[in-house]
Amino acid sequence: MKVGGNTRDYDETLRRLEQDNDDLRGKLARHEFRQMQQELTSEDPFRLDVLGPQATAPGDVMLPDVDDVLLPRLPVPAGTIARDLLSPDLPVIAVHDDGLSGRPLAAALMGLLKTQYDKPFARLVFLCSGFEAVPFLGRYGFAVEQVGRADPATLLPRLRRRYGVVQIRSVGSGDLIARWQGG
Amino acid sequence: MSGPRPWLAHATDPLPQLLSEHPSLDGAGGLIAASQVAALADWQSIERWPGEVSIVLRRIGQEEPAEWRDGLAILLRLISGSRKDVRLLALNPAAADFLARETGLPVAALPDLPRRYAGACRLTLSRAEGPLQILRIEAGPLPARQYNLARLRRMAVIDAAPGDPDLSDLAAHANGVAGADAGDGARAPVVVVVVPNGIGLGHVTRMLAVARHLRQDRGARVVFWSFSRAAGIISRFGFETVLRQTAQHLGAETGDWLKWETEEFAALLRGLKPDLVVQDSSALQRFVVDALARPGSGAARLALIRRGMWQASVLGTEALASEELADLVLEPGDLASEADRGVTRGRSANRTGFARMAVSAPVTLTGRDEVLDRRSARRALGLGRGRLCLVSLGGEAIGDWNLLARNLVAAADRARIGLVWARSPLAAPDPMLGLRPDIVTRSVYPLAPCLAAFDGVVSSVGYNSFHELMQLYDGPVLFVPGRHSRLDDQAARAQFAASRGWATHLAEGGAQHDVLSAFMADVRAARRVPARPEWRNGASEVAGALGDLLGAGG
Amino acid sequence: MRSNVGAGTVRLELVELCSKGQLATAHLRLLDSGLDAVDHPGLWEFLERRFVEAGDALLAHRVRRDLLAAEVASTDIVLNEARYEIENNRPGRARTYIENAFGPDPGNDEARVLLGVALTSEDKERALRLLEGAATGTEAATLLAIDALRDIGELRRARRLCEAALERYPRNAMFSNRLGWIAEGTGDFETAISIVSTTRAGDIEGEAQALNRLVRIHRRLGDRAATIAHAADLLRLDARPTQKLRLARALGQPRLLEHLVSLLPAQFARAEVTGDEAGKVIGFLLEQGYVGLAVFLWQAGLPIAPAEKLLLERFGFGVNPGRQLPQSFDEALSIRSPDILFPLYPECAEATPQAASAPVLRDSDRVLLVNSVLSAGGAERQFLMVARSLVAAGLSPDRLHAALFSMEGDRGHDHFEAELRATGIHVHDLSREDISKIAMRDRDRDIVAMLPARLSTDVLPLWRLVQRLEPAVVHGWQDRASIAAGLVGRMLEVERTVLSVRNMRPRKRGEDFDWVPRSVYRELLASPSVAITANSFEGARDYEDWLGLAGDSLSVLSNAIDEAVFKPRSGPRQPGGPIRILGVFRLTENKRPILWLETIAALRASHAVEIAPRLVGAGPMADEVRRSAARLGLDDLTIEAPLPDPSDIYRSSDVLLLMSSVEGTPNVVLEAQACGLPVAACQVGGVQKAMHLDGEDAGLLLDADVGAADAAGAIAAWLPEALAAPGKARVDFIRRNYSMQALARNLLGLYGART
Repeated sequence: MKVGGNTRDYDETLRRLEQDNDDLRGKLARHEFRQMQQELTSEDPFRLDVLGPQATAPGDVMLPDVDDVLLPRLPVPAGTIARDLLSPDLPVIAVHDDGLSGRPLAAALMGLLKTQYDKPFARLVFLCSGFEAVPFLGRYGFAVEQVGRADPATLLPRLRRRYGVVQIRSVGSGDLIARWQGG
Repeated sequence: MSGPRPWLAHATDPLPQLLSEHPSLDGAGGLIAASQVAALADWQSIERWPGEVSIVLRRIGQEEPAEWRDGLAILLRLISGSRKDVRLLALNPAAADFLARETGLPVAALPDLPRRYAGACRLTLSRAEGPLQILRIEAGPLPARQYNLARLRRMAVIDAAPGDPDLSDLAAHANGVAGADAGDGARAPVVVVVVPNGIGLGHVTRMLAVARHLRQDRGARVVFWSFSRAAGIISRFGFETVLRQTAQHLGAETGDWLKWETEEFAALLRGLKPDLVVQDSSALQRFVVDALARPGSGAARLALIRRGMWQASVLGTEALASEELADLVLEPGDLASEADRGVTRGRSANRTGFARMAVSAPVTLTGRDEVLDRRSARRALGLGRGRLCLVSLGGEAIGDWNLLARNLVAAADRARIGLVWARSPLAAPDPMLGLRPDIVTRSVYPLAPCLAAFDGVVSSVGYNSFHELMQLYDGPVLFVPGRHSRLDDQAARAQFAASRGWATHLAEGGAQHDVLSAFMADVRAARRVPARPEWRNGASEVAGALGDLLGAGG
Repeated sequence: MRSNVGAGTVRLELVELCSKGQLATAHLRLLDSGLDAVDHPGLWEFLERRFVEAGDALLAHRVRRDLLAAEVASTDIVLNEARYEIENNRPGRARTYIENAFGPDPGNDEARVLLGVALTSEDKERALRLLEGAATGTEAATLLAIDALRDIGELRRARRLCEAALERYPRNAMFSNRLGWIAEGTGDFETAISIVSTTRAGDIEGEAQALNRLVRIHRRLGDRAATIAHAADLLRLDARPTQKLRLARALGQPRLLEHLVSLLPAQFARAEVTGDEAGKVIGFLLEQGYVGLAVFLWQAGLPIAPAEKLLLERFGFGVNPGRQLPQSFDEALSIRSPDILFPLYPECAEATPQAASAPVLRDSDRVLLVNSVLSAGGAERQFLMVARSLVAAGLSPDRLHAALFSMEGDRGHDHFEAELRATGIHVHDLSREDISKIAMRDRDRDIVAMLPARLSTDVLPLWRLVQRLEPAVVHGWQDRASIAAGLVGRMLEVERTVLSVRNMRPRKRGEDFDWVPRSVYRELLASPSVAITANSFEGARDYEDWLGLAGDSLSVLSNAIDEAVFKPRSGPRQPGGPIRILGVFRLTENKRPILWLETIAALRASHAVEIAPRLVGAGPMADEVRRSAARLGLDDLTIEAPLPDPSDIYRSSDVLLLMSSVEGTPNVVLEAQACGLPVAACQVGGVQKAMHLDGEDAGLLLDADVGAADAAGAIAAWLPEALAAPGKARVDFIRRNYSMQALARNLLGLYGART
């Protein structure tokens, strides 16, 4: 198929379009990262003002594990701060919020996401013990699981099946919480 | 972690859906094989089961007599050669007698189920064509697999097409007997609410309104299955919330994503055994229907809360078809329903499939008694003196948003009105408005209690905003219909309100300068609009209708 | 760069490498050593032996090839290589090696056997001569010889060889296994059962295989109790899913099969089933025609073989745009082959032709008749009658061809072969058709690949034959041949296809998975070039009902009796002496042989009728019949094997008694009456229409569910008049309604011949 001139011109046009796309992606990612930085370094990063009387939810609803059905692996999005397409070889790592909230959580996320922005090292799935950071993480296109007060290590089998998670790490220290040993 | 399921059953056998209705059978540590074929196919599980094992023997269905006889003979041989003590059951005393004679072994009848339906509606099941079908007189048969037999028995008296003794036994068992033991004492009703990830917070808001009344008026335990990232808001309102991701969130193939949702939703249903599942959406989602049809999901009734006012261009035949699967389709009323040009208009008058349809008063989260006075509202929002106008458009306004924003700012400046920009709790803290640095934003949920803080409101025309403003606020309102709403006919609402004199409408392509100037003048003059409708508690009505469904049985 | 190291050093290195399992490295070392096969054959043979011991057949083969190319191969090397080529389906090469080394008539026992095996497809006579000495060969060669003899249908020879081998190698289970298969193939079910039962012990897999075979054999014998017992034993085992699926299939338990399939996704998810086994299940389902269930498992994440995946994708499964995938197990169940293949060519919907434009059989046109086998049975006899009547009506035998799926004598598949050949028509053994030479469009190849395996196995050789012969008419006889012939006829656009079905629908004959023929018949009937016949009114209506067709969709093609063969004896029956009561039927459950015996015993005991009972027939219940006869005191009962020409049997009998529970138009009733015999039979199927029931020559119709005592009473009351009657009316009845002329006339009409 030829567009306008000869095949060589067409190839050149495609290359330029790809380059433009890459540039645009980079620009958008930069913009997103700056916006994200602003949020995380603000005074009240995950502020949610809810009016009226509030109640405490009775507890976490834990889903029984579904281990007798073969379910397909789901993809893990790269997030809007990804400057380039992420390599498919990057491991899928779940990051647990350690029960942190507010500014400590924001600081921890900042550190992690800066590293990810500079040099992507994984596809990230965020494990939130509360709901606070969910809108934030969702806005920046990350996969989020709300896990309540469950021991994160016990979540690995399901995360493995669902996302291909190979490790669970702490958001603050980066310490390994659990590693997948099986095949 | 899960353990093995406590029953063995053929994939198409509807009996397990009833077995979980038996208080003495479900979760009692025993294993039940729902048929002799199920026992044959998985005899190892029977031998390995540490506890009690029961096998429900079935009379002949659609299989050939030789197949049925040989299957029974092989099972008897397995039983006689096993050390396992197996209890043989049948669906009723007549079947038990027959099977006892056939096998030469004691066969007990399953305890009767309590009757759950006492009305006049009847439906006929048939397996003559292969899969189980619900026969209808004036239309083609409905595949029955989308319905859980435990649900169907609450909706009608079930008959079986002739020539299928096993199906007759199933139908009779499903119909139950008046006065039969209903098991342990009643527990508080459990309701699962499914909210999609819509644009904005419309679905969440509406269902929070309803859920509060269910909890307060009926003592219900309400659990949300939320695709919306406003799950935190739901949790703040004191409801258990399971956060889910949509296929779009993950970039997943729809088919793959559906498999996860179906299995995990079914697992939730098995654990909670809810009395009611409610979805607030344009159509019932596949995973909800499929999970509900699984055995062990309980006998939850299914309700669809489906807003009207669809755009005229949306044909919606397929989306509407899912209503057949619900017990109740509730349309939260719309003040502008006279202007409804969409396919749902008038539908409430029909009955489709087994679904009863009804319309309620408009549903808002904030009630009349929750609205703050001007001073309290300004204090709650941290606002000072002067004429203030709320701008609540989200990102959905018509045409060139930047142009509108500039014109708004200019008009407000000229009229010396302060603008307060509402930000969704889901949005980023500092939206790129590209405007002056002294812009004022507020992100509060819900905002309706604080409306009195403002001397005027510029708003999109989504369901919640519209009804809050038209029922809870008496200042000037300028409606700017959203452009990107695929389904919601915001323009019709805005036009209707304008025709009633309740509000001004900034139509797409309209002369913004004049309209805005006139509006700001009204704001400046602190004009009041007394002609707007009185607030009605639609949320309580909806909760009432849902609550009636909980106790319903014809 | 090759190094010239000493052979001794290299040998040591090879020893070490082989001991570490580094076989490929060892091979490379030898190749690099500069020590070629010509000068150092011993070293090469040494390595070959090591490779054989280690089980690396491919490397051993490579070394042997080099030795053979260098012309320094020893006897052992030649024999090993010949064996390898045979095992890898290259008998031609094996033949070359052996003849080059040992000549065309080897003195070496092993070489003789291997040469015989290599020649079985090419030169059966010579092969059999060479294999006479197979009993003295090695274990491996003997095994090959046995399998080769089985492949060419020489079951008796194979059995003798097996028995001799078992004396020499009593512990080799492969010989006893084969003996069991051979015994089953020749109808010696007792031996087969005994062997399979003794080989039951062992691992679960072996036990499951043995139990599956026992179920199959006992079901064939009609021994329900044993079938049930063995089925239960298998289900008790933690056997692989494919074993249980085969069991369900063999038992005629479709719901059990479906349930076993529905368990698989969870079993796979819990790692209770391996990926390899899961793939085998999918393959099994496709073989059986359960396409939807195969897709269901594939969708559920079970692994599928690449070739099967490709085939499903070519039919639109799993591609976009493509077919809607099944959303539930129920939907998956409804997607089956061959249903999904029909209509075959939707883009070529035929207009209904007018009768006048239907093709007419030209004088040079060939007619191809197709049947399953030529075993001793009524339907097979009628197949012979078709050929005879056509030839008698003047059709040149050179234009007539008969094709059979099997003609193995040792299995009894050739009972009517001599008579068929005596008509002068061409007779083709479809098992000998070279299907590697079939020309097919890609689309047709896909269609055939997607057919259930049993059907595609029949279609392929028939396709080849029809391509070669280009007949104007293909006539399938009985269901198996009819559906294959019908499909081939349709797909190769044969001008006219005639399908003559059985006397009752498959399910009534115990064929549980009957959707395959149903689907094919319904598809074929949509084509105006296809005609389907039954041999009785009742049979035609039964098939129409089963196929969901309007009445008169099937025509009736009555059986024919050769009056030159089946004619009355000259002269009346001599009075006095025992009444010679004859039964001619296959010894199977639906013929109710035990009821027959009990009726005879009751006639004797309760009615003091002097009887000389005689049974002619064979079948799976033969042993049970003998035991029952002994139990009933019928020590004088003679049981004879079916004879090629049974007409003498009738003429030397006085009465025919038939007590089947299921019949179409029973040939024996027609034949007996044609020979003047009075007939007593149960009123089932087309029996009533087949009997002359008027006047003094009338036969006796017994109730379908009559008991022995009542039957004996009715027979005792009827016999005197029946025996005294002249019998001419019976004979005329048959000649009027069941003549060869009428059959030929009807056939030629169906074939479109000008009358």
